[in-house]
Amino acid sequence: MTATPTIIESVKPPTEAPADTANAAAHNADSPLLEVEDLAVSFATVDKKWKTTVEGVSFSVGQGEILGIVGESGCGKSVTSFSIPRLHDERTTRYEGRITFDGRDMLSLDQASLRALRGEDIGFIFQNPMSSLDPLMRIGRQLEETVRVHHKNLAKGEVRSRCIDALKEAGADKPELWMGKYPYQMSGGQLQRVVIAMALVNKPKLLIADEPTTALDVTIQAQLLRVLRSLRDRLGMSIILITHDMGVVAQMCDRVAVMYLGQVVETAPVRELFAHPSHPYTKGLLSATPPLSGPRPERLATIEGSVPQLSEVPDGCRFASRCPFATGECRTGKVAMRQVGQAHSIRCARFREVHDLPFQAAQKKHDAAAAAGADDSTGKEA
Amino acid sequence: MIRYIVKRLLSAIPIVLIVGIIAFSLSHLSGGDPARVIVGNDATEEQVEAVRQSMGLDQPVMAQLWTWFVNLLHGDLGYSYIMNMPVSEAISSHILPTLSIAVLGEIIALLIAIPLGVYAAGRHGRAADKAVLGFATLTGSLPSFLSGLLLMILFAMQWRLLPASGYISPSKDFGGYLEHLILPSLAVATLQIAVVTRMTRSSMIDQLGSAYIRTTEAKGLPARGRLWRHAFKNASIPIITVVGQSFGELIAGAIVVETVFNVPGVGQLVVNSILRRDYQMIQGVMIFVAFMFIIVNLLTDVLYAVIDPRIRERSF
Amino acid sequence: MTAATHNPSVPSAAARHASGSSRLRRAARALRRSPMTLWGLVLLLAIVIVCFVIPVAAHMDAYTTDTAQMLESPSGAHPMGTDNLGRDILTRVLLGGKSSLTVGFLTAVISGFLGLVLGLYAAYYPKLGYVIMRLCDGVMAFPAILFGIVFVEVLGQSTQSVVAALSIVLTPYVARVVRSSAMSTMNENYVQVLIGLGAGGFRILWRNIALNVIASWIVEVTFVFADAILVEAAMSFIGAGIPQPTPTWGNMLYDSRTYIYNASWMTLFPGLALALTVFVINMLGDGLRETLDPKRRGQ
Repeated sequence: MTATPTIIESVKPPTEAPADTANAAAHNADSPLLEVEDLAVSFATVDKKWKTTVEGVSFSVGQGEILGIVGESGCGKSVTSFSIPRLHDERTTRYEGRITFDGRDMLSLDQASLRALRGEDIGFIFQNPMSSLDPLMRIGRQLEETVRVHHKNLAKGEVRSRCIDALKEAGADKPELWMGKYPYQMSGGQLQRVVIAMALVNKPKLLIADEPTTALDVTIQAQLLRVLRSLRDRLGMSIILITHDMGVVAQMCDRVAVMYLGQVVETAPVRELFAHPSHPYTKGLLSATPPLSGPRPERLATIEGSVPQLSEVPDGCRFASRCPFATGECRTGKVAMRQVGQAHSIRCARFREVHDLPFQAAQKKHDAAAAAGADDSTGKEA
Repeated sequence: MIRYIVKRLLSAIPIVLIVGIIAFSLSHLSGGDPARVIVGNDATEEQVEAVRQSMGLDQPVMAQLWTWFVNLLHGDLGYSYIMNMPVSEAISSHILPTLSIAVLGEIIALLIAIPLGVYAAGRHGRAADKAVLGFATLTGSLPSFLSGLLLMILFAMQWRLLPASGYISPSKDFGGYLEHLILPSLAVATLQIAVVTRMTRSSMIDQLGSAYIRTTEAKGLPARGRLWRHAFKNASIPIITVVGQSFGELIAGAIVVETVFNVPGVGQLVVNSILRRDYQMIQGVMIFVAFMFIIVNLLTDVLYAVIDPRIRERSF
Repeated sequence: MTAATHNPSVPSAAARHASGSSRLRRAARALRRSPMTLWGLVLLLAIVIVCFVIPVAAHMDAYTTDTAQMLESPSGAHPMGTDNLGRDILTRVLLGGKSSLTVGFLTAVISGFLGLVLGLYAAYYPKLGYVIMRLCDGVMAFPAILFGIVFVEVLGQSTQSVVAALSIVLTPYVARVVRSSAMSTMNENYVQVLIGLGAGGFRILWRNIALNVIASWIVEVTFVFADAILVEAAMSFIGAGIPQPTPTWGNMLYDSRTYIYNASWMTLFPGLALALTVFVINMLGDGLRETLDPKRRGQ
């Protein structure tokens, strides 16, 4: 990481931290474009029970801001992003909490107004471009359809030129030619540009990109990220970028929400996060990521253990089973988000002690302690 | 596109060959001496020998197969010595009612089955879906002749809405022609409804769960546009396949149903030929239906290419 | 969504140590979860018992004609009435069921076996497979009924030739399903590894691939069972199936046509028996597909 710590925040006293909604309270944006508060998403299982996969998720996205949501696969970042325009099957999904987009309460919108928002004010970019487009329809028609469904009275030529503009915006080299092609005639990178064009063709206020580059080559990845970035810079779109790649976050985002096992565990401005990762999971994640520049460490750290099944989520802190800092107090009761700096909150019961400790050192001690048969003393020693 | 069609045509050749060989060997399995059957029991050995020669039956089997096949490819389906006319002539004078029943039956089946299947897919796993599946299993358990008999009892005898039997040529009275076709066509449609409903449903369920449908949802497309313009178009190829593949059974259904409603079609020709032990005729009809099946399936192949650009392109 | 969020209920330990008894228990649990399979099995069993046991136990007679009781409508003595020759329809429906089920079962067994062998070898040896599949295409180009009629006419009308004809016509359907299922198994890594290690074709086919094909095979054979009953009935109905006076549902329906105006019970009862039986078998097939065939298992 090149970013060196510039401001070191002192830890605020815990009494100030309210419950789960405490995220980014101090963030200075005038009312944010999107505000997610204490979102919980549950899906109906085969035997008609509800299974909660995401809970206590809170974050906000300001005008022209790029928010990164990071976490391992299965941590609920996609579920969260799909929930914003309510893309989950309504029959088998239950949402709780609040999602306010552009002054509207998304969770109580009727289907028609929801549809009017999708593709118009909220653009969505999916993970796998190869399967995201209708294989039997020309690119042009799929794009035009997106315009026409929201602007019924637009002249034919106008619709077409908007699509071509969008393709150009997404970095298409021959947009006219692309319009007449079928998806199978194009490469993955080209298709993702099409998908991006489709998401931005109606100039949405918010763009949600769910791992937009994961399925693509590294070289194309960089190009597409530049495209996304320029959309924000030139058109002022707000973007939610879902990724598991800390490097992408560092390059792209203004703010970050780190998710683990269906919960947001840390939110912070990107510089702050990289300078002072405070949640043990974030610390682990960062020390497991090779630095973008500077000398490479001989070995990257790993987070021991594996992500537990959601059905076996423990009481207390969900990271406790893999956390080198964990003590007895971590394993009981719900852990709330607490503020640890300006616009910086973490979900950690030991947030006061933990936030300055390096992950690897703790891990080594933890391991040593475990080997010596000692119990849960790592925190104190450090 | 043309290369694709040529390729499909070429790939049909082995099937045509096999169909021919099967039909030919069936008629030669019968053991009896066709010449003897034709001239009757009290003819002299010379007379039998003469007929045998005129029919080419004195040739070796492979030579017979060859001539038979060459004739077949010239459209000669054989000669019925019992009816004393070429098989193709007999078929062509009986084909119209049969085809009418089959085509009308197919139309009825598609009109019922496709909306049902699409509807069920949209309510996957709910009561309505299960009801549709149950309905499909029910119609799939009703052979055409049985549903024909039941329809006859209901519509022709209980309610006296439609004629119970017979056939009127369309050139004579088109209204009467249709009226007489309704019950047989409905009867033929039942099994087809089962097949097409199931395929539509499962194919639509697959498509509705696919990523590009989610994209159209995220674009704000209304449900109807998603369903028909995107999902159904993609789902249609397996549906077309199943329609093509069940075409033979549809014709067979029509043949059986004709005997229920006393329609003078190919079915009657078959039944009468069975009674007369007219193997040439039955064999000719069998070949004819099999060839129709092959042609219909070639047409469905062309239809794939019209729908799917990937198939159009992938000529080799 | 992610795999991790699904299927928490399958105890992995039980799956790993599938001893005989736990396998049985799992089968029982699957049955309980699939009412269609359960009901299909129970009803089919009931139909079989009724058709095979009652006529023997009650010394029923399906052949003696009685001109004094022709075309009697259903009554206490003849719950389903009598036919044009004064024979008891209930008796003939039950014995007809016996013939239909026998024909269907034999056909399912024969074409099930042939289809399994042909399908497996067609999947394993591509060249042989090409020939086998073209042969199947050729047979499938004939509608089952037409092929059956001609075959039976040529070989002589008997139950054996009906079974033979149906087996030939329906084998390709089984072979196709087995082949495509086997081909997808062959693409699995472990089979490729086995082939690479030089394991013999026979061993791989019957030890490794066959096991994975069995589920879809059972489902398809169940549907062949139902189809065979349908086609046999249609053949008999045309007068080219099992010879009269053996009672079969098709034969009874053939007889009923002349009397449909004044004795609809002659049509209704054998017709309902046929439809019900085929419905039950199809239901069983659907249920089995739901529980056994992983590709079709609901999400």
